[in-house]
Amino acid sequence: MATDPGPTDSGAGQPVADGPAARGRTAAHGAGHVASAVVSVRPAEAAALAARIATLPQTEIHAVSGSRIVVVMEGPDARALADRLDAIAALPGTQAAALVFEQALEPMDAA
Amino acid sequence: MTLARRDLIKAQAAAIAAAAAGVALPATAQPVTGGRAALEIKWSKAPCRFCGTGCGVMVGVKDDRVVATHGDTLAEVNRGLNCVKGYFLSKIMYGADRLTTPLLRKRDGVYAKDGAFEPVSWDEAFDVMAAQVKRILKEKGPTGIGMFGSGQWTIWEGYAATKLMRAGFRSNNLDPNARHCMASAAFAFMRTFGMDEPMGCYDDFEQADAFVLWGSNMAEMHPILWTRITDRRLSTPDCKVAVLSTFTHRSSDLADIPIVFKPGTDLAILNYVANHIITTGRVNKAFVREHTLFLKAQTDIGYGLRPDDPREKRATGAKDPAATTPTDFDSYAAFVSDYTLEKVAALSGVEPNQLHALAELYADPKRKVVSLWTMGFNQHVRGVWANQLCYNLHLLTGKISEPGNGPFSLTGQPSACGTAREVGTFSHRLPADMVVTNPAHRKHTEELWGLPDGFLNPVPGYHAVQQDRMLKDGKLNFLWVQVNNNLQAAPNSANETWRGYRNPDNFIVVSDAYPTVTAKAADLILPSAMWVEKEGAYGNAERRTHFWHQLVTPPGEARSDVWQLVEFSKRFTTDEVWPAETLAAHPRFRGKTLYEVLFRNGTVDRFPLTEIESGYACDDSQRLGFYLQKGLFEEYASFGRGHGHDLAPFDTYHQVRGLRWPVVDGKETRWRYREEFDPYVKPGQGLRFYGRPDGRAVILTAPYEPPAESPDAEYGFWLVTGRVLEHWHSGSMTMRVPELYRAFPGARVFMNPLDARRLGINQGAEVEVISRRGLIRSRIEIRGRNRMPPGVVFVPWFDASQLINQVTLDATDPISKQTDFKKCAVKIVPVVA
Repeated sequence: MATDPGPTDSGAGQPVADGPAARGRTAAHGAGHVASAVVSVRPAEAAALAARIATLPQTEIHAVSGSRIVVVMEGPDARALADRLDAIAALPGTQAAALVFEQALEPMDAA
Repeated sequence: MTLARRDLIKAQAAAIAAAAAGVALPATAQPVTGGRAALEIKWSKAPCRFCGTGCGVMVGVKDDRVVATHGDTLAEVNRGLNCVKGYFLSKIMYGADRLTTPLLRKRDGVYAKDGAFEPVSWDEAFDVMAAQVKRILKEKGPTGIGMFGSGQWTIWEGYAATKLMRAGFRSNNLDPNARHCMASAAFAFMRTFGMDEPMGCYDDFEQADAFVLWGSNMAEMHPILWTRITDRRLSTPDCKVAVLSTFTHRSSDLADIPIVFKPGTDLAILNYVANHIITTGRVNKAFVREHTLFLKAQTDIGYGLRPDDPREKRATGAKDPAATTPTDFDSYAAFVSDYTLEKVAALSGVEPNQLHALAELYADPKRKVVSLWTMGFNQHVRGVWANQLCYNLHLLTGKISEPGNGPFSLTGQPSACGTAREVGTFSHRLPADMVVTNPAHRKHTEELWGLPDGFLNPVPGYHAVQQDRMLKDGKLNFLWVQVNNNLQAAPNSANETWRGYRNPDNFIVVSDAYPTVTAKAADLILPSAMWVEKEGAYGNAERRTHFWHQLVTPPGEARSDVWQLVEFSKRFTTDEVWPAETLAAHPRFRGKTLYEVLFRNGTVDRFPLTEIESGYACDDSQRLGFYLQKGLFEEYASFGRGHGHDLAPFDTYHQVRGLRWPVVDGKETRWRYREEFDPYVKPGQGLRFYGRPDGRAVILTAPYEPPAESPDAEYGFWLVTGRVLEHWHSGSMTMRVPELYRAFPGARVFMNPLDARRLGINQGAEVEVISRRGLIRSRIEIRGRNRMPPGVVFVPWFDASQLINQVTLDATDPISKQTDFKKCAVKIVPVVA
C-alpha cells in the first residue's frame, strides 16, 4: 500500500466502501446467478413491454398481470444481472423495476 | 439432477417474485414441494444495509457464507421487493480486498505519520491509539479528540460511541456524516414540532391523492418506495405526482407536473404556494387557530463559511442564525403576499401554469397530499427554512398527521434516524431528542449513565465541517472515523479534509471493511465486520426499529465497530482521563477503567449469554462474556420510554419485521400527534403537537435568500452533485483497474446539449470542471438519464476516481451546519488532446 496517497491520485485502483463498487471483484464463487424481478408498467403497455423484455438474453417472462410483470433472469455473475435490470428499467414504458430474489449458484447447480 | 436444481431455483425465484407482485403464476411454474428445503439454505431476516428506506430481506446462508437473498414478503416496507442495491447485499461482504487485519503506518518498526502501512495486532493498534489519545487529552483536553460516525452505525454502535466520547472522554466532538445528509431536516423537525422525525409513515403512500417531490429523485434513490408511489399513481385515476428539481431525472417520467427550477428558488416557490392558499381562501382556519403559532426567522444569516470569508462578515444575522421572533397570521400573510405568481415564475424560471397546478394540489381541501424530500431540501444553505416552509403548507391546510396527508422527510442511510438522530450522535445531542446545552437533559443523562452530577460537557462539539477545519488548523488532533468515507464525502476536501488528515500533529484512525480513500489517508486502519457478520439494529425513515442476528463469521481479524469501541475503553482509567476534582469529589470512581464505568456498569452487562437466541452466534458478546447488544439497547431504551420515544423490549425486535415508535403496550404508532392513532395524545385532545410545551407547531416566516455562490462571467455554470444508479454500475470495475479507469471514467458531467454545442464539446469528450477551490477531469454526458437545463451541470460524487468534492464549496446552512452540495459555480473547459 502506498504511503500518503493524495486525494488526486487516490482514484485508480481504489475501491469504495459499501458494496456497489465492490461488485466487479467479488471473490470468485459459484457458477452463475439466478434472479427474479417485478416490473411496474402502465397496464395498457404491459403486454408490449413484456414482449420486449423477453427478447433480452437469458431473460424469461413468468407472468403478466395488470401493471406487473414477473421476470426471471440468469447470468454469469452479479454484474450481468444488475446491468440487465438496468436495461429493463431504461426501456420506454418501465415505471419501476425491482428485484426480488437472487442466488449465487454452486457449480453443481449450473449445469 | 443438476439441471433440475437450476430449474428449481428459477421456479423459486419466479414464485417469490409473483408473491411479491400479488400475481398468480401458471401452474407449470410452481416450485416443487419442499423446494426450499432441498436447497439446504438457512434463511433469516435482516434489514437491507444500504438506504434509509429500511427494506426487509431474507438472507440465505450456507457453509458460513451468504449465498442468496430475497425480498422479505412479510416486511411491510418492501413486501418482497428489492432494489438493485439490495440485490448486491449478498456480495458486499465478499469483495476481494476486504480488510482483515489492523494496518498501522510505520517506519523502522514504530508508528510514523509518514510511514507505510504494515499489518499489526489489535493489541498493538490499540496501544498506539490509546497513547495518542492520552497525549492529546493531556495537552489539549477533551476538545482535542473527536469521532466521526454515520447513520450506518447500528443503534448500539452509535450508543456505545456517544457514551464513550461524552461519558468517558467528556468530549462532544462526535458527529455523524448524517450531518451532510439530514441535519437540516432534524433541526427543522425540532424547531417546528419540538420532536424529531416524521409524524406519518409509508402507509401514507397508499392513501394520498397527490405526491410532491421537493428535490428528491426517488425513482433512483428510493426505488422501492417509488414502486409503491407508482402503484398508487397508476391505479388511482385522479392521483397526481409533482416532481420539483433543478434538472430532469428518472422520477420526472411519472410526473403529471414536472418542474425544473433555478437552484435555490424553491424557497420562493414554497412561499408562493402559501400565498396561493391564503389568497384563494383555502386556509384551514380552525386548524391554524388551535394548533399553530407564528414565528419570524432571523434573516441574512450567512453561509456557514469560515468566519473570515467576506460573505460571513457581511451577513448581518450570522451571529444568531437560529433566532426567531413572534409574529401573527396577518403579518405572515402580508409577508408571503410578495411572492406572487408572476414574480416567482420569473425568479424560478418555471411556467406560471405549472406553479399554479402545484399550488392547487396543496390548496384543494379535498386532495390528500404527501410531500417528500431528501437532499434537495437538506443540502441547502437555507435547508432548515426549506423544510419549515414546506411544513407551513401542511399546517396552513391542516393536511398533516393523518393517513394520506403529511410532510415526509426521507433519509439516505439505513439508520440515519435510528442511530444518528435517535441515539444522539450529533455534536450537540443526547439520546431521545435531548441536547447537551440543556442542564436538565444533562442531569437526566448523568443519572441514567450513573455519572457524577455536573460531569457532562455542556458545550456542543465540532460538527462535521468544523471537524475538518479544526484538524487542518491543528486544534483537533485525534479523529476516529467509523462506517463512513469522509474524504470522499466532505466538501472542499482537498483544501480542508485532506490537509486536516495529513497534518503532522494529527492521528487519524479509520475503521472500515474496505480500503477506502479515507482509510488510505489515515494513520491507523481497523478492519470492521459488516452487516450480518455482527448482530445489529437500524431505525428507518418512518421510525421503524428493526434487528438482525449475526449470520456469518467476519473474515480474518475483522471485528464489529461496537467491539472496537468497548474494547478500546479498557485502555483508559478514570485517573488518566477524568478531572482530578471530579475524582476527589467522587472517590468511588477512582482507579476504574472506562470499560468498568461505561459498560461493566451493572446495566449494560446484566444479560447473560444464555439470552442469545438459540441457533445464532454473537461473537462480540462471546468475547466479553455478556450479551452486549441487549444490554446496550435496554439501557439506551430507558431514555425514551415514557417520553414519546418508547421502544419495545429487545427480544421482540428479533421476532417482528420492525416496529414504529413510540411502541406503547406492544403497539406501534403509525401517525403521531393525532388522538385516533397516537397514545401520547390524551383523550379529548384530538390533535396535539406535544413535542412543544404549548402543543402547537410553528409556521415560519422566512424569505428567499440567494445561494452562497452563483454563476458569474468567469464561472458560468451551476454545479449540482448527487448520485446516479447507473454510475455505480459503470464505476465498479473501472475504479479498480487503472487502465480501464483512464479509458472509461466512471462519473460523467451531465450537461445540456445546447451548452455543449456552444462550447464545442461532443458527447464523451474530456473536460475539466473548475471552481475557485479545485478541479477534476471528467467526460461530458449529454444523452444520459439526467437531462440538464441550460446553465446547470450535474456530477455524481460517489466515484473515488473523480473526487468532485475537491470542487464543491464548504458552505453550510448556518442553523443545521449541513453542507450545500447542490449549488456552487464552475466553469467547464475542454481538455485539448
